[in-house]
Amino acid sequence: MDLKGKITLVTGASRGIGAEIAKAFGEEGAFVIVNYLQNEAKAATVVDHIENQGGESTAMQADVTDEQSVQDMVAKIVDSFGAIDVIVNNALPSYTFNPKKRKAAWDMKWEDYQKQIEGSIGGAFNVCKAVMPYMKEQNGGRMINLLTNLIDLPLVPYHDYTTAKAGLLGYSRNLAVDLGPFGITVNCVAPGLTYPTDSSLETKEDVREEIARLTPMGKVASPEDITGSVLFFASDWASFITGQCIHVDGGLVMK
Amino acid sequence: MRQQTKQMIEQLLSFIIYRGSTGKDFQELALTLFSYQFEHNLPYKKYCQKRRKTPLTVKHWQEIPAMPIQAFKELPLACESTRTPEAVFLTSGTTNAEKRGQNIHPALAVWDGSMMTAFKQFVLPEQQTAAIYVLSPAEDLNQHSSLSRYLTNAVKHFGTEDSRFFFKEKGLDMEALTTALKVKESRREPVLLMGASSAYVHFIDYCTERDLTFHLAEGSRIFDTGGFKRQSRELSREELYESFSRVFDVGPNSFINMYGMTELSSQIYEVTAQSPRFEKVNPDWVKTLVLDPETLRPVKAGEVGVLAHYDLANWNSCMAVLTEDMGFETENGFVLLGRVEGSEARGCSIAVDELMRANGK
Amino acid sequence: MRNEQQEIEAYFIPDTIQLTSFTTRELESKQGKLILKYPVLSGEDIQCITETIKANQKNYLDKLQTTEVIDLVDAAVQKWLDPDYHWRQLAETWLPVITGYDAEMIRLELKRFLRTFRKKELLRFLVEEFDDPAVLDDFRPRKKGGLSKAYGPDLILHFFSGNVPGLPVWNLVMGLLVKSGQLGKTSSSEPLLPVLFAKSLEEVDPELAKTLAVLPWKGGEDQLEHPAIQAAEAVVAYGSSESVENIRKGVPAHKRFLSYGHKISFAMVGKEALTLDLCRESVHSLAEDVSVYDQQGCVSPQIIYVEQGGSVSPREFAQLLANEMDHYNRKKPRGPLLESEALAIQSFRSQHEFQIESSVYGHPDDTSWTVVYHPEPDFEPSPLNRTVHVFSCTHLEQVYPKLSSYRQYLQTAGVAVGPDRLFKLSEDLGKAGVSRVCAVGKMAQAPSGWHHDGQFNLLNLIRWTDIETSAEQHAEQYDEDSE
Repeated sequence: MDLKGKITLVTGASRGIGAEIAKAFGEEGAFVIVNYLQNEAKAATVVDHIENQGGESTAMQADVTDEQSVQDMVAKIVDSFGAIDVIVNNALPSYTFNPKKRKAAWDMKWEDYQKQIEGSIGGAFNVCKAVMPYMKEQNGGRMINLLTNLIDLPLVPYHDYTTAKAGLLGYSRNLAVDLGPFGITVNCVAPGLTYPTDSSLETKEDVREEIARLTPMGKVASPEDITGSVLFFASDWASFITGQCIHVDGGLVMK
Repeated sequence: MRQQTKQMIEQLLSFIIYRGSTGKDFQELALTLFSYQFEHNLPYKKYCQKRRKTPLTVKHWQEIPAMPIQAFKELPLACESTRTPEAVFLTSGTTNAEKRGQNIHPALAVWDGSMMTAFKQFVLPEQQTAAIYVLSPAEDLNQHSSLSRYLTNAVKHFGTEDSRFFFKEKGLDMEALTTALKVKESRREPVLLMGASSAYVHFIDYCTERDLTFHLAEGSRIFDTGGFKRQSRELSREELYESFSRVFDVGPNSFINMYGMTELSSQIYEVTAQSPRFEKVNPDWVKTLVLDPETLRPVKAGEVGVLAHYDLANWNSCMAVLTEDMGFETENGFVLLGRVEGSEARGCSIAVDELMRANGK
Repeated sequence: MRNEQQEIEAYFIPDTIQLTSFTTRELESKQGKLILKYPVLSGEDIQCITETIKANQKNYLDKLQTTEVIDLVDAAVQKWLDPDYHWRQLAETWLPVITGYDAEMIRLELKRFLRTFRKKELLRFLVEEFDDPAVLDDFRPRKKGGLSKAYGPDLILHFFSGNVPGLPVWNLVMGLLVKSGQLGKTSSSEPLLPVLFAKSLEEVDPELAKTLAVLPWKGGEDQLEHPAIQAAEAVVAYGSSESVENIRKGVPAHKRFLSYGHKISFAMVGKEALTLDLCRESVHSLAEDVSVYDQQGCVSPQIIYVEQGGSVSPREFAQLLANEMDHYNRKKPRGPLLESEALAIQSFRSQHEFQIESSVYGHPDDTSWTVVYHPEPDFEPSPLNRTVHVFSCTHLEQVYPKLSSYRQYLQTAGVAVGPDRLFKLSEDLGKAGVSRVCAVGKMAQAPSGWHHDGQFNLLNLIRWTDIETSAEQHAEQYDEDSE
């Protein structure tokens, strides 16, 4: 897989799946921009890790829900590197995945949905919108959006979170149509429950065991399991694939 | 002048003049200079960004994008902007009178350092001074010519007291040159002749018409530079060397050809006493790449391509310059094949030149 | 044809003439080796060949009816429309090697081109220029009295173009329709196809083929060109203004001289074609127009004017075009370039990069395609080989003043505009000097009966003889049986 020299932005990359994705790109020779919101120290750890492995990386702070902040970050990337080849929209608004404390449908408020839509679709929208002129100008680019397999199999119905991610899938497919003629692909990766991550800390043993039991491959995903499909969409192997979604959940969802 | 520039100049000078003692190799200094030029030369920065080459992505000097010489005509290429540069050198502009390439030198210290260090190495390796007779204009006659600066420097720093310029306001004073050469000849004193190739062509014609020949003393050298543009009749280098031998009665090891470009700040030498015929050799702070015209990536060793020169002395504009000259790499340098020849378009679609002619442009 | 060695003459002459001295040129490809046999010609050879052709024209071709000629040409063209036809296969194998053009592109374009010479097209071609094509056979009555007959030249000398394979076939067919003997000088860049077509005519009718010769020689060889021009009644020349002018100098004023100099074509896309749903089709079509025969044909656009105000901006149009150029190049890669051609493109790219307001899109690794976007309209040719300008304009009408200096060079305008604008636009383009307005995507496929460079094709070759009414009436007096 030749990602050598590809300028790659991973949002929300200071921890969890984002950090693993950033490291994986670093290992493949990409220049990785580790975006973070607050956790500067953790972002620095990811950058250090990549550099220690002989890769190249830099950390950049930006709130993906803030249009201006995202535009400034992207402009800075292009100024420093001359291009932006790959974006991975991984950042998500803070959310507690606790099956026992989740809100039931009748307790949901419209604001709950709005917050997730703002964070999930809004964040991805800001990043996609900001890189669009550059990718069009360079006759190509890769956009990869992180979803969840709960869209297809809401084992635990996190209403607001999953609804927003489902919206992001629709956004991605529509984007793929308009951007295809410019040589830009838009694809999605939908992980199953991934452990351990900060978000999944409150998803306790019993639920994880239950999901593992239902999963053909007999375990829940670990952060490293997710990276391969993201790298694939960024690689030349996926040059003619767009508007697709890969489930990375050990076969829990098949479609 | 910004502090960073002063430091850059210091580093370059010490590499060029006292190389080795700084411990910096070409690679390291080239990358430092690239970062400097990327930061301060905006058109060059844009050119590099378009090629995805930035200080963060370039790891080796060979990856530094070479700026086409055309850009020196179209754009002001300068890291240090000043209203009173020490010199602005212009290309002779034989092809397009209006657009002449320019290379701005806020300070000439590095240019001079480069010129003199290489001059010593290639032209006067075994002596401190020489009697220099110059056939082309000195600096006072042509302030915008890098060649004139070069010749004036040579006489000032390496010429004995009887060194002279024979090019006056009305042109080359061939009679005076003839007389002076005859004097040298009778005294059996060696002389270093210096000038543009075209100036020699005129002088050789003059001598041939009058059946004049000289028998210059042992140790005399004929230094010429440049190709043959429209001013004089076309001569190949081989023919030129033959006519030097015939007119001046000097041996095959007495020729020095200097290859210089306004767009660069250093010169490259062909010294027949030091290298195989036609091989041009760079000083240590200049490297030349041979690129495939189709991809602008280096060709395999020995294959013909278009030349790009990486000249550390060219600190204010662009260190890396893409020429329109074809050539190929040799063991110690390269062989210059000359300008790429235009060809008539294959198609019936009208070509740029024809249309431009039609429009009187 | 695998790994075989094959020899073929790069010339065609009436089979009664023997040439004695030859050179060869060898071509190699995966399919084997082809040896092209070139004659070494003298002025006497030319004289002998032209005399023979003229005699055969007089004794045979001149006596055929036009419809018979059409049937013969049609029969030869039908052979070429069979994919298994041996000469077609030879052409499809070796033209890519000779010209450097992509094999698949040649296969497709050659087929498309030859289809325009079937019987129905030839008939249409005649009617296009003659109210009554029978004037080529006999005196025919005119509406206002009298009768007229059209005579083609007894010998046409062609200087064929070499950039687009097949074009000389068009010249040969034109000459046949006016029943002329013909001598064609091939271009060194494409010496094969006119020879093969002559061989097909020979297969169809050996007598007809004896009125044809196709010969290669280096342009400007006076000792060959002088006797050829002397023998010919009409001279048809293709080439740059310079080479056409050189030929013209050698042609006496009383001889007919038709020339097709280098031309430039462009396209115009109106904002009504720049909707999200329709624009991709225009982009796709134009990428093909630009890329076909590596832009060597004068019908290929070098400039595209794109109007502002549509859903897709001119800049986006340029970006989309870049991607389509890349797609076409993957399907049908551009041929190899000379060093000077490649450097011309490199220098073209950097020149426009230095203009801050322009954008340059190009293949990232080599020069195989280039699109340059400009925010203001202008008129500027490209270095060809799949390089094209996209100029943004506030309205298409803004472009006309830019065209004025180039009147004599303008040829095809490919347009994508609404019906309400087509006439006005064409009227203005016509005034500017454009001779052909067609749809985008069709620029490279001129129909056989077009006014080539704004002129008649057959009418310019023939001369007329009229029998006036007076002669007709006067003759009646001498009718012994008159009452």
